[in-house]
Formats: sequence, structure tokens, C-alpha cells
Amino acid sequence: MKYVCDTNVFDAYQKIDAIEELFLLNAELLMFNETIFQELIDPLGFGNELVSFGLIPVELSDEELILTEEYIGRYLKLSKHDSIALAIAKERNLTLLTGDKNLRKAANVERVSVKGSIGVLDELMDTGKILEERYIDILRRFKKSAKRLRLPVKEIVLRLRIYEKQHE
Amino acid sequence: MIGKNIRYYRLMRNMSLNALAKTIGITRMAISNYENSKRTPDSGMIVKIAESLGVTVSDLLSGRNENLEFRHGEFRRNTSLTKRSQEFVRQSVEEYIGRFYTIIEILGDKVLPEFSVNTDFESGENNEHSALILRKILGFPENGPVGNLVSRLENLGILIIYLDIDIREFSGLNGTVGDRPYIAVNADMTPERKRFTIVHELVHMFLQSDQSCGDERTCNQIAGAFLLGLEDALRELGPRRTYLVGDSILVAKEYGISMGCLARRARDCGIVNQSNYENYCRMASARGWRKKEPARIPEEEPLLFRQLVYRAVSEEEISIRKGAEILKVMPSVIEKDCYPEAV
Repeated sequence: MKYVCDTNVFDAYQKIDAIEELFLLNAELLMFNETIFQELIDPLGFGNELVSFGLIPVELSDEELILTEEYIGRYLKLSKHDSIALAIAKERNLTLLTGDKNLRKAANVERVSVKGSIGVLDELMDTGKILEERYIDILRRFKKSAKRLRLPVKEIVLRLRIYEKQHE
Repeated sequence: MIGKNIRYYRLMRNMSLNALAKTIGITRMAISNYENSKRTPDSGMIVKIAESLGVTVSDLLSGRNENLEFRHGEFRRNTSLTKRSQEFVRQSVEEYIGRFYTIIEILGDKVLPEFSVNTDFESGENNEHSALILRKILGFPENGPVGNLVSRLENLGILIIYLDIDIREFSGLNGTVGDRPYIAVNADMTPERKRFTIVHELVHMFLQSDQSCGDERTCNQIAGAFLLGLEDALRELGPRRTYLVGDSILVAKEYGISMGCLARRARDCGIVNQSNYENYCRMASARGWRKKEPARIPEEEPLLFRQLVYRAVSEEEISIRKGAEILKVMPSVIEKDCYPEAV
């Protein structure tokens, strides 16, 4: 399995010190090479670090380039790197990993399947890649930074409540 | 979109069509066709072009608003700017305003102050009078310092652009985008010089239909009179004097003008004679002020563009990275300002 990533998911997991968990997924993570090395530069060398964890840099095909141009014109609220990620996912028929509201909307319009930061965490838990304690720990960290990371607080709280009920 | 970006970066690198074509190994006509969007380069060619221009493929993919109609003012006849530099200035203005209008399209055009300055008037009997008329139509008081010029003009619906371009010979340009006027000035000038250049461009914009205001010297004189009017000059400096430093520096600071501008005003208002003016010039030369006079006032930053982007980020209309892309800053800059508690 392969996922195309936007920067947002890496930003979110990096901010809560859980970046390595992303690479436990049963999937190859792809990203446009310039996005890795031009955009993921804070903290310094972040892009290189992700590549060392297993992130795969990819080039744009002619079709993806044309589609990117189209998306940049069509979806004003997307950054150009969001449009690139969407074009790659569309052309290669892959799932897009993103936590960005506007990118999710555009992906829905383009019929590209999407998985968000919480969805990734659920997948890690469901496939036994992380223990329940770590799952809860990450959820709590997400909750704490939800505003800055623009995460759906309701979704996080719902999961935490289920966990609390199970352990009452 | 790609074509406009190729031209923009080629001009930024000060490369001719021929030079770029030669580096890549294609004809001049092919590059020209790409730039004019008559042909679209394939991905391999885009990579080659990007490498030759020292930019990334995604730089060439930057969104360009194709719907904006620009009318740029003329550069003065004896400008030392090369034709290519002039074209680069125009392209830089279009690139900047294109980004500006992205945020306007996202937030809706109601966020821009309506431009409703009455431009139907004649210039005055002399330069002092013309300056007074200009103050009046822009809503400034007849006397006293004009205060924050950039903020006032932005609120009148005039776009003020500080162009961060490495062309020393460029000081300012005016024009319109749609019906909205813009003034672009070189970001690498002192705040005083930026203010003077902005007023100089205002004179071109509002009084240029009048032949008497067409030449650069007249525009400069009106700009000086706008920033430091006759009555103010006489009151602040006294009717007659021989020496311009000391208190004059404080007056220059108060009115947001350079000492060079103040000295010319003092001469034009008859406060100092030609000989004393020349004495000032010699002193200014010895201090290096005629080449680079020190800044004495704080920068007047155009805030509207940044304000609108921050609003879109804060209201979660766009991501921090999109905001950073529009403003051409690092995401951490926006994050620090919009989410200070998270940094």
C-alpha cells in the first residue's frame, strides 16, 4: 500500500513528538521531492530526517504537472504543494494523507480518498503498530495542541471518552 | 502560469531570451513561446528551465492571477534602468499584486477599501498650491506633518508595495490594477526616501494630466512641498537662516523627510540662499549623506496585505503554509504571530 502525504500530517506529528510512529504504518509514504527538501525545513533538516525514516521522494510526471496547474487555478485556498500532493494522489489513484480542511474538501471533489491525522492514528492502533497507552498519549497531545494543529477536537474527545469508559 | 513565471525568474536573473535558450540548448523562439503561453513545456523541460534559472519546479508552478488588468506608468525618459530591468520591475509588481489579489479573492473584495478619491481637478497656480490641492484631495490637513503616509493611502484604497528587488536604480513606479491605483517603491531605501518617492508618484498619478507637472523636477518640488509646506517650513525653520543642521534634523524627523529634502525646501522657500544651500551640500557630502543619508524615522510598513493573510489564517480559511506562500515568508513567521502560545 502507498499513501501520498501533504506537509500538514508531518507537521502535526512532529509538533507532538510522534513523527516516528507515522513510519510504522503498513504503507509506503510518498511525497514530491521538492516538497520534502524545500518545505520541510523547519526544524532544520526535517525533510532529510523523514527520508531517513522511510519517506519516499517522487518526481512529477507530465500528467501530474498539468493536473497541478489545473488545481492551482481551481482551488485558490490550497498551497501549491497541496495541489501537487492532490495531483499525485489523483494520477496514481492513491490515498492522500492530510489534515488540511481545504485539501480534504478538494480531494472529495476530485474523488481522491483521504486519511487524516486521527485516521492515521486509528490505523496504527487497529493494526497493532502502537500500544493503547501510546495511542491515548498521542490523542492527549493532539487535544492539547488541537487549535494550533487545527485538529477536530470532537473526534479526539470522543475517542478519549470511549477509552475512559472502557477503563471505568 | 508557467510562462509568466519563466519570464519573471529570467528577468530576475537578468538573462536574455537568448542566454536562457543557449543554456538549455533550445531556440530563443521556444523560450518565447513558453513565456507567452503559446506552448507548454513538458516536465523534463520544466526541470531544465528551473535548473537554468536556479529555481525549483514548484517556483515555476506558483499561481498567477490571469484576470488582472495592469496599466503601468512610464519610467522617466532619462532613467538609467535598462529595458530589461524596467520589464523586471513591472513583472515584479504583477507578481506581488497577483499574490495580493489571491487573498482578496479568498476573503472577498469587500475587505479592500473602496478607492473613491476624486481625480477630476486641476493643478495649482504654482508648486506650493499644487501640493496643497493634493493634500486636500487625499484628506490630509493643510498644515503640519502628514503622519503615517502609507497607512493613510492604504485606507484610501491605494495599494502601496515595497518591492524587494536588487536594482539600485529603481526608486518608484505607479500604475493601476483594474481601477485601483498602486504605487511601488524600492524596499531598499530609507523610510524618508520611500515617503518622498511615494508622494512623487502621487503627483504623477494625480497631476500628470497637467503638462506643467509632467517633469521630474516639478514632481519633486511638489512632493517636497506636500511633505513640508511653505507655512510649516517658515514656522519651523524661521524666515531666514544660514546653517542647516541641529534643530533642522529634528524638523526633518518630525516631517518624515530627509535632510536633503529639507535643505531643498529651505532653498525653494527662500529660507536659505543658494550659497548657504551649497554649503549644506558640501557638509552633507563630507558626511556621506548625499550618497546614503541615515534613516531617522521608523519604517512605515504597508500592513494591509499581511493583515488580510493573517485574518485568513486566524479564521482558518487557509493553512499557515498557504499564508506563508502568499506572503513569501517562512511558515514559522506566521505561526509566531498567529499562534504565539504554540511557539
